Amino acid sequence: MKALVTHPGRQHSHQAALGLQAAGMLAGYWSGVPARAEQAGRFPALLRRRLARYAAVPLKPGRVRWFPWTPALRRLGDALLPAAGAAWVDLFACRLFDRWAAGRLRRTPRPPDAVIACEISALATFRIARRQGITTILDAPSLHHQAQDRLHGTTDPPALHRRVTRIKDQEIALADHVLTVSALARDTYVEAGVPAGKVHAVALGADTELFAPAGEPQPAEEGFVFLFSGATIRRKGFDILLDAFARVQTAEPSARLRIVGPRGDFAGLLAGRSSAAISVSGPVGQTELAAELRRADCLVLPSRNDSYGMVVPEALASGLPVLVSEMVGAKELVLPGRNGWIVPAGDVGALAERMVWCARHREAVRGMREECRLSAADATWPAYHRRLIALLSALVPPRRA
Amino acid sequence: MRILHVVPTYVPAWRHGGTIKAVHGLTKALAARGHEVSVFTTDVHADGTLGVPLGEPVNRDSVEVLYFPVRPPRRLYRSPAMAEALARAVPACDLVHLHSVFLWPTYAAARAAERAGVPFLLSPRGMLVPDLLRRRGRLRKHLWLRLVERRTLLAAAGLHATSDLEAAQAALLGLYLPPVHVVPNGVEAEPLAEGAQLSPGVRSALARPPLLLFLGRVSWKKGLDRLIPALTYVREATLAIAGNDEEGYRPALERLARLAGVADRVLHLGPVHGADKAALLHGATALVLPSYSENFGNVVLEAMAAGCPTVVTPEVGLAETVRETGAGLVCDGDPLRLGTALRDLVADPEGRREMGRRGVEAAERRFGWPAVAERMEEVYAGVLHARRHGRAETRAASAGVATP
Repeated sequence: MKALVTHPGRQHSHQAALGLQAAGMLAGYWSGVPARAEQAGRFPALLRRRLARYAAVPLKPGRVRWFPWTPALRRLGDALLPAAGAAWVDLFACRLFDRWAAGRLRRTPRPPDAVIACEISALATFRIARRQGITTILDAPSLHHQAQDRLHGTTDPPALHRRVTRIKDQEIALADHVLTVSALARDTYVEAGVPAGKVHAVALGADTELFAPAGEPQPAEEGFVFLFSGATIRRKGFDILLDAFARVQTAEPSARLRIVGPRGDFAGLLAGRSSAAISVSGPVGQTELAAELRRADCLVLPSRNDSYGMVVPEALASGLPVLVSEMVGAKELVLPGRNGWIVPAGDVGALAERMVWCARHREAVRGMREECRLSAADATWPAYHRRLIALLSALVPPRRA
Repeated sequence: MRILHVVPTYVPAWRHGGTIKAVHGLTKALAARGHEVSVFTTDVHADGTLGVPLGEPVNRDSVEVLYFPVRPPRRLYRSPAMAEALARAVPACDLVHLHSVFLWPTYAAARAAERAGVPFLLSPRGMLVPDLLRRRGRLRKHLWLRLVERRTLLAAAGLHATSDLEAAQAALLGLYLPPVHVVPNGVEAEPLAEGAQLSPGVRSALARPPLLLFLGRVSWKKGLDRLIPALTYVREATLAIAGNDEEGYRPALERLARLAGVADRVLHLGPVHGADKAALLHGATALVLPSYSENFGNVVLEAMAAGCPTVVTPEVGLAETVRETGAGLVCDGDPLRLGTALRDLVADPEGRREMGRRGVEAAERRFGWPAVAERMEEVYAGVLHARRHGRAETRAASAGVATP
């Protein structure tokens, strides 16, 4: 079995490619973010800088193809247009990538047995793949669009949203299989009427070499530190976090909240709350995030919807207990009371109560370090590779020529 | 009551799985309740024969058993000798109980009962499941269903399902069904023989807790291709696969285990019986049955009786019982969901003890053979009562079939 992986950006698609390569099953990796540094070398500095934050991926040079126009268009859209315009450009960039990948696939002399393509960039690719007897696998990193609409709506213009939804539905219909990242995400597809036998879940991993506990716990004089890592948006429950933290401050004035991540639609909420107890930093790289996690006492992720929540295994691997909402896919890793806690989504009271408990029981929370680290031992990228390969080998028949 | 049971294979043909055990338990318990019970069967045992006396009564646990030789095509279990004996024996019975479909003995006995005007009850034993028919020998089975079993179903005085799930599945076929009666299979606790000699494979499996146990035929139907990947989420647990590999499925499973990186934690024990089986059921951390389709799942009852927590998929007939009694977990078969459920169960010894306790209690109270035989007796009485009051004739006539 040989599979091709396509993605307009990167997300975790390179990990799928790495897993396939290790098993001798990679037909190709076509992406919007170059897998290898030398691929970007010929392009303008503006684009190179934007792509520099992505580490090179050790894939064989003959297997990788790069489509620079998608990241270039996205960069231009973000830089020159308001949010709504940038969102339209983003869709256009994804569709362009899809057409490019479909064209390449049509011309490829030795077609693969399966193609794994990311949602919104899979439609044209799947049409060609089906014509060639190739198994189509939809990489669905988020929840089903119906669940997203129900849980938190969208910030996209309505016409764009309708367009995206239609594309997603067509892609699901053309997919032989849908690959989700958590049981939570899988359930939303089954609830939306996609046959259960067609939807699969493979949990993502964390880099356990980068994310590892600090040698010694931080000194206690600073006060308990809660870390929020992610965009400051409604979907991540940022408003809920701020409301809960306000209550925590009343009960435990020494508690601190550290916010790490890009500015989002709810960043403005911070304005009215300037407080020495809250510190904010913009987006950080993986190494810096690992350092942030080592400095904190507990990760908080009160999302309204998070199909996985990569920072959860990263925090656990760093020895940090996690406080997540039940709408976080990676809650699968949480053994309540042993390496973290799960609270109802959108419940400020429940979140605040648990945060106060943590702040008051610092030693108990620190005592969970070893259990956290152990529970992350199965949530690694090599484990993801093996799970994915086992699944694909069972799902994918040889191509029907 | 004089009751004749017709079943394609019977004790001691243990290799043919759960049906034999269920029919054996039922006939034994009915005989113990004072009924005159006889069994007509063949001497088929896997690819060979049983080596039992043919055509003459053999007493097994107060049940009169007659074994008949089969003629080609062997896969249909065709036995002209049985046909002759049926013609003589059926008229003297109050009721005939047929087990399994798609095989010649059911067909022959149904015709004999029709001719003699003796009511008969049909137990499809998990074979009337649309999904199963779709996956396996679709055309052949559908033809047989339309041409042969349709008539059997029209003439039957009742259909016996072992679970609500099996009853619902049969209804999906879109065929005429006689009145459906749901009576579960019973269970006999396998006693744990202290100091018994265990085979080396079983001993080494039991020495590797936490031990997840799969017990049953090694078949695609059982969902082992979900259980093995699920093991990647259950740190340090070992999976013991115990059962007969008739389909030559093991190499595929071994490859899957290698790809999933759990090959060193999957043990293939082959078929287990007696002390080995009892020791596994009493010693395992949990029994897992992640089937794609399972009309009942006898092994779940056996595990419950042994105090072993059970984890089953919703497609297993006993899933509702597991849920109701709290003897284990009902869990979607997707590897991630199944794996995390197993991981949490392994980490919760107190919860497991409680599940085990509830399983033992439920197995005895609801699924002891005496209790099950009593329920079956009520079904028989109902069938005879309906027959005496002419309902069966009316029904058959309205369906366009001449009554004998």
